Amino acid sequence: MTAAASTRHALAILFGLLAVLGLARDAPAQAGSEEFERAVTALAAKQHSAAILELEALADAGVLHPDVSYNRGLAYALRVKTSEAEPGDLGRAAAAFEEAVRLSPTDRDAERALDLVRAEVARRRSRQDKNDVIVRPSLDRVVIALLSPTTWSICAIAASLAFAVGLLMRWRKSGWLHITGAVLAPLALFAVLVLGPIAFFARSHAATRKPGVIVLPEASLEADQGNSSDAPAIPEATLVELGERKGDEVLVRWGSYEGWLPARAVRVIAVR
Amino acid sequence: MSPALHRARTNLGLALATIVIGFALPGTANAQVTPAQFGVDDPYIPLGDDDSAASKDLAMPDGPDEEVFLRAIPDKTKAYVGEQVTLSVYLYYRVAYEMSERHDPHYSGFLRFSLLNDPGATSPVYTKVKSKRYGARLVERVALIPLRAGDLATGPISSRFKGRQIGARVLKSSNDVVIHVEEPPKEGRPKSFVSGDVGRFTVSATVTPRQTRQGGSVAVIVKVEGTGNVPSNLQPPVKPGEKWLAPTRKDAMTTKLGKIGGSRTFEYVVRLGNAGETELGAFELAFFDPVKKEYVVSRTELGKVQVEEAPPTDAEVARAKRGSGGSGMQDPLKELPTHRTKLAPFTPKETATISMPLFVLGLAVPPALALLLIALVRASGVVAERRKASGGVLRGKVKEALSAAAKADKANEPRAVCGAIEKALHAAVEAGTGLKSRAYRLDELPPKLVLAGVAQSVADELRAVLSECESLRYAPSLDEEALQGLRARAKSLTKKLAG
Repeated sequence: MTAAASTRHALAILFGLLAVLGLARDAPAQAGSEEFERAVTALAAKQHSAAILELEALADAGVLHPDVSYNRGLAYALRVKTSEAEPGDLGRAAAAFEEAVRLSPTDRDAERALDLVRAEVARRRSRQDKNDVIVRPSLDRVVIALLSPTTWSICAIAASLAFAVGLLMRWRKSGWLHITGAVLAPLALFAVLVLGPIAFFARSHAATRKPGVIVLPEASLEADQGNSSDAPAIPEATLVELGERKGDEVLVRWGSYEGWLPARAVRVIAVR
Repeated sequence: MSPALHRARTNLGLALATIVIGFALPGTANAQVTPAQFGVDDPYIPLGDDDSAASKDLAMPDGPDEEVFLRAIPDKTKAYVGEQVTLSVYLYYRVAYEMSERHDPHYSGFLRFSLLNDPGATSPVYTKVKSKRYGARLVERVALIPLRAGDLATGPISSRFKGRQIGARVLKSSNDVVIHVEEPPKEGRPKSFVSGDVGRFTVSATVTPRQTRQGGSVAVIVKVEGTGNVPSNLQPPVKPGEKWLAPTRKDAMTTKLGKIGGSRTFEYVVRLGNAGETELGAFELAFFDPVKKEYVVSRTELGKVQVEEAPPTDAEVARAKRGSGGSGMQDPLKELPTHRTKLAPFTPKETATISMPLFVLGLAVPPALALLLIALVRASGVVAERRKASGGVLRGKVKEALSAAAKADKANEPRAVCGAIEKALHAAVEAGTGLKSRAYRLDELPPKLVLAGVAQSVADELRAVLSECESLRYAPSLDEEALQGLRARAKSLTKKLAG
C-alpha cells in the first residue's frame, strides 16, 4: 500500500467516525421528532395543554433543542389567555424561551417572545398596583459574566506565563530585556493576582449554580430559619440564580438578595 | 394555739414584717425578678397529723436534714414543645427564718409567665420530711412554655436566709428541675402545623367591607383564642391579585386557674387587584392538643368580597397610547410569533473546558519553573563566588609560602625551604582545583589531579617536586643545586596550577 493510499484510508476512517459521532449527537432530537410532530398538531388545533404535555415529555427525556423549547414556551404563553390557564404559566413560558435563547443565541423570535412574556407580566402587575423593584446583579456576577470560565482560566494561565517570562527577562543584568522584564513581571503578577481568583470563582460558580426562572405569580425569599428575608417579592418570569438544594427548598440568588424558595417556585433552565 | 389562729398570726406578722415582692411581667422570658424579702418569727408547727392532699403531696420520706430548704416541683417532667409546664417552688422550714436576696432561675429554653403575684401572701402547709414536722410555703409558681426539644433544665432558685438556728446570710438553693421536651408526633401532623402551637384554640374572622373597588382594600380581623401557647403568627391565604399587608397584632394574654391563655388578634389590610367576585379563602390554624394527644385544625372561612372594576388610570391610558399604536401595551401576547412546525438542524455548541488540575498546573508551574531556574543559577553563582573567594586566600598562602621559602634559602635552612615549597604547592593545588592534596598519598595524587582538570604533565611534575621535597627534607646531606632548581620548579608549578 502506498503512502497516499494509506492516508486516504485513514481519512475515510476518520470521516466515518465523525459521521457516527454526529449522528449520535443528533439522536435525541431524532428520537423526539414524533412527539414534536404531535405537539405541533396540538398547537395548530389550539390544544395548548396537550402540546405542553408532549413538549414536557420531550424535556423530561433530555431532548435539548431550541425549537422544542420555543414551542413549549409558546404553548404556555398561549394557554395564559384560555380558560385552561394555570398560575405560573407565564413564568414557565419565560423559562422555555430563555432556554431557547441560551441554546441558540441567534434565535430572534425566542428573544422577542421572551420580551413579550415579561411585558405581559409587568402589565398584569401594574394593574394589580404592584411596583416592581429593579434589582441589578451584584458586581461579582457582572464580572464573571463578562467571559466564560474557560476564557477566564486561559487569561489567568497566560498572565502566569507572562509573569514567568517577565521574571526571566528581569533577571538579566541590563539591556532592553531587563527593562522589559522589570515592567512585565509586576504587571503580570498583578494580573495573576486578579485573574486567578476570578477564574477560580467563575469555575466554582459555573459548577455549582444554575439559571432558573420564577414560575409562581410572586415569590418571597426566606432566610435560613424560615424567616422572611428583606428582599422584595420576586415577580413571575424573573431570571434568578439557583444554588444548592435542601429537601424541598432551593437556594435562590436574585441580584444581591439571597434566600430560600420552594423548589416548585422555580424552573431550572436546561443548559449544556 | 390552734393552727388556724397561728396561720392568721403568721399572715399578720408577714404583713407587718419587711415584705418587698417583685412582679414578673407576663410573657417576658427569663425576666429577672426583684428579690422578695420576708420571714417568720415564730415557726409554729402543729403536732397533729395533717391529712390534707397538699400535705401528703409535699411530704418527703427522704428529704434533707436542713432546718430550712427550697424545693422546686414541676407538674410534669415530660412535655411537648409549646405545652405548659407549671413549676412550683416551696420553702420548707421548721425554725424561725428571714428570707432575702432571692435569685430566680435562668429558665433557659422556656417562655416564662408568672402565676404567683404575691409570694408573701401564701399560707403554709404542714407536712413531714423524714418523719420531722415542717411548714411548707409556696414562694414561686411559674408557667413555663418549652421552646425547643431536648432535656431542658430550669435552673435552681436560690435565696439567703438568716435566723438564730440557721446563721447569717446562709445561701440555700433549690433542686434543678429537668424537663424532657419532645416535638409533637409526626403521625397525622398537618402540613400547616408550626412547632410550638400546642394547646386548644379557636379561630374566628371578620371581613369589612364586603364591597370595594379594584385596587381598594378590605380589613380582615382574625382572632385566635384559647388556652396554651397562643400562636403569634398566622399564614394568610394569599392568592394572585391580592396583597396582604403585615398585620397589626393585639395580645390579651391572661392566666386562668393556673393555665396560660387568652387571645391574639391579627388585623390585616388586604388590597384587591382583580375585579369581580373574589373568594378570600380561609384561615387555618393547625395545633396539637396535648390532652387528647391529637392534631386539630381550626378553620374559619373569610367569604367573598365584591370588587368593582376600576377604569384604567390616566397613566395606563397614556402608556397604552404611547406603545406601538396603542395595541401593543394592551396585550403583548397578541404579538407572539407563530409556532415552529419542524425541527431545524441543531448541533449543540461544545465548549472547550480546562480541567481543574490542568488549570492549577497552568497557573502555578510557569512562575515556579522560572523561580527555580533563577534560584539554581543564583546558587551556582554563589558557589563560584565562594570558590573564587577561597581561591584568593589560598593564592595568598602560596605567595606567602614561596616568600618563606626564599627567606629560608637566604638563611641557609634547606629543610625549611622544602617545607615552604610543599606548603605552597598544596595551597596552589587547592586554589586551582579545590582538591585538598595533603589528604592523598603521592601515588594517588596525579590521577586525582587529572580528574580535577589538571594536565597529566603538570600532575606528574607536581608529584616529582613533592617527592623530591620529601626526600630532601630527610636526606643526611643537601644538594644545593637541586634545592635551587626545586624552588624554580615549584614557582612554575604554582603558576601552571593557577592558570
